[in-house]
Amino acid sequence: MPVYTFRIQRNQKNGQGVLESRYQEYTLELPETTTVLNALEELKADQDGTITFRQSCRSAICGSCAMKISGRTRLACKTHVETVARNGVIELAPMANQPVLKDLVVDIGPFFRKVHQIKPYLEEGPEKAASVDRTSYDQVNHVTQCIMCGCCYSDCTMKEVSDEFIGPAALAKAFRFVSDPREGQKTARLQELSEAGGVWSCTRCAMCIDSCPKDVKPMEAIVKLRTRGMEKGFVDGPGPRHALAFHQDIQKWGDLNEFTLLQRTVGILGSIAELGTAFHLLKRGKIPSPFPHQAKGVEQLRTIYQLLEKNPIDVETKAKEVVPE
Amino acid sequence: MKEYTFFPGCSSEKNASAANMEHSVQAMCKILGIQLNEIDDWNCCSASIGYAGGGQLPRLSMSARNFALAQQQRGMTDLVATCAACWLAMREAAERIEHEPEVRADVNVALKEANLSYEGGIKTRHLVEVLIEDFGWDALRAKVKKPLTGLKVAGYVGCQTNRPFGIAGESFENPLYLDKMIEATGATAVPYPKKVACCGGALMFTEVEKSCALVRDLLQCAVDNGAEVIVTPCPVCQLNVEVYQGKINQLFGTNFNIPVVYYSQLFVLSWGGSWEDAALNQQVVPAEVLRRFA
Repeated sequence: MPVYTFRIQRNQKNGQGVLESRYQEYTLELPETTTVLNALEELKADQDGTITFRQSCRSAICGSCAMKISGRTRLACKTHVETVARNGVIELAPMANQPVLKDLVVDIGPFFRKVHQIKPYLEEGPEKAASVDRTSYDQVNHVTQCIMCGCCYSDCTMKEVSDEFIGPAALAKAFRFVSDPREGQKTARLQELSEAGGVWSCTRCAMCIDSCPKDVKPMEAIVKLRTRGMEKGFVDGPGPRHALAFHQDIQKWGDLNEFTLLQRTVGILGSIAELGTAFHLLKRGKIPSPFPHQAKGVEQLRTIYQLLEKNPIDVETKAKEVVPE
Repeated sequence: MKEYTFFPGCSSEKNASAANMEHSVQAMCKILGIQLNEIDDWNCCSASIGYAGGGQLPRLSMSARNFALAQQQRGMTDLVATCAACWLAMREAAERIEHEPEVRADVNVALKEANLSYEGGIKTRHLVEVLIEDFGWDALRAKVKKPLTGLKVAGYVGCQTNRPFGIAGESFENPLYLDKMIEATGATAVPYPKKVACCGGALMFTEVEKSCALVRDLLQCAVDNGAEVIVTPCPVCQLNVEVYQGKINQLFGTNFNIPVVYYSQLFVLSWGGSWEDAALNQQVVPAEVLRRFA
């Protein structure tokens, strides 16, 4: 059987109550298909009883054992040692973007406060539908698989630099309520989600899609929430203005106009603040003409757009059913 | 001479932000024997943000129009993109139209307005995939005339060529193609743990300080690992990581001044091309560290 080295981040409070971080190495001889969680339990039982981690169901359902495993956040119970060993070494650390309590355990309070912020329950109101058909479930099927493990929150690019951002898991949950026919406050929800720290703060890096152990695809839900928010008229922020600038350019030129994109996103004053950057680009021949290349077939594009705006066809509801793992 | 149908995208146009990528790509293709046939009258790929008004379908239809034109003009050929955002948008549209019959039908309702139709068949490829699959590492190495010996380079892949599709055959967590390209020019690829992190480019206009904080971390990681230059396949990454260094230095009291170039620029230089062929005169942060190889 192969021998694996576990390089574990130990976080413990010193005499003054300040958290100190160091790495400690352990070796174990294991079959390749052992889960990281089983390995951790073996270490705790036989080598060092002080290693602290969370675990419960062992079946990728409870979401307790999420941790950084070789650089990416994963469920320890769902991850085989062989798939994450790099030259025989497996590095374990607590989840990122959350306060560390001890060793591999983080305070999940901030994560769940974001979930509560989006009101994770159905509300009464004027938009409540009387009947629910099967297709309305199909489009939220993928988000209902979320187990709130926080893998996406831990790997989220924007969470690295923004406390305010609601985060992928909570936004995916918000999409589930906005899309539920029984929900009475769909528009009010979209308004709140369109504010600062909401759907427009996502960088769309797709990291959450990659790190989710349940194939929830939070970023896809975020993108759909943006579209729906704009359809309800919540277009008065830099995010929606940026999207509208793209949209209008495509209709007008069939092409994206880098010259006016900034100005229409952040306004004239904002553009002046960015003049320094623009000047650097200008010196290097990288500021395009304000009258860009116009696609000859731009009339074709306009007719396509006009048709689609008159008769929006909802592609979302045609998403294929996601089969749960 | 190998021919491919080519979608350049808005940022590759004359005087646009990735004009130096386009110039160096053309020089690279000339040396390698690739002819890129631009689609006549292409339109914007709609990137991933053109979802305002009319739901998701306008975005897919924009790419479908390009596919229809490519097929009319060139038949069932591979459609090659160089811009990461264009490639991602086209790839998504192509996959959905190919595999979701209802989406295909809706897209064709829209295309009919322009007397076009598209039923699938286009294979969307990134130029990087063409280099790796159709030419191979040995061929790329064989072209080297001036090896970039001793140059320490951080290979920054970014997100759009990595998630959710990724360059064919590459790992999502630790793609190696860019490091291999760096090594193929004779330079040294330094370890770069942030290689697949996001530069926050999509928010550079709307939440600039947060995006700058993300870029700061990317730059710091490159410097900490001893890189003299950062190389990337993505025009969004190149622009953000390069031109905001001054602003980042102001915001965070740092002192970054590290050139950010495209893989195509490194290839052209190592294959004996001139400074101008590699479009290195169009860097905002001057790439003087490369001058000794020109």
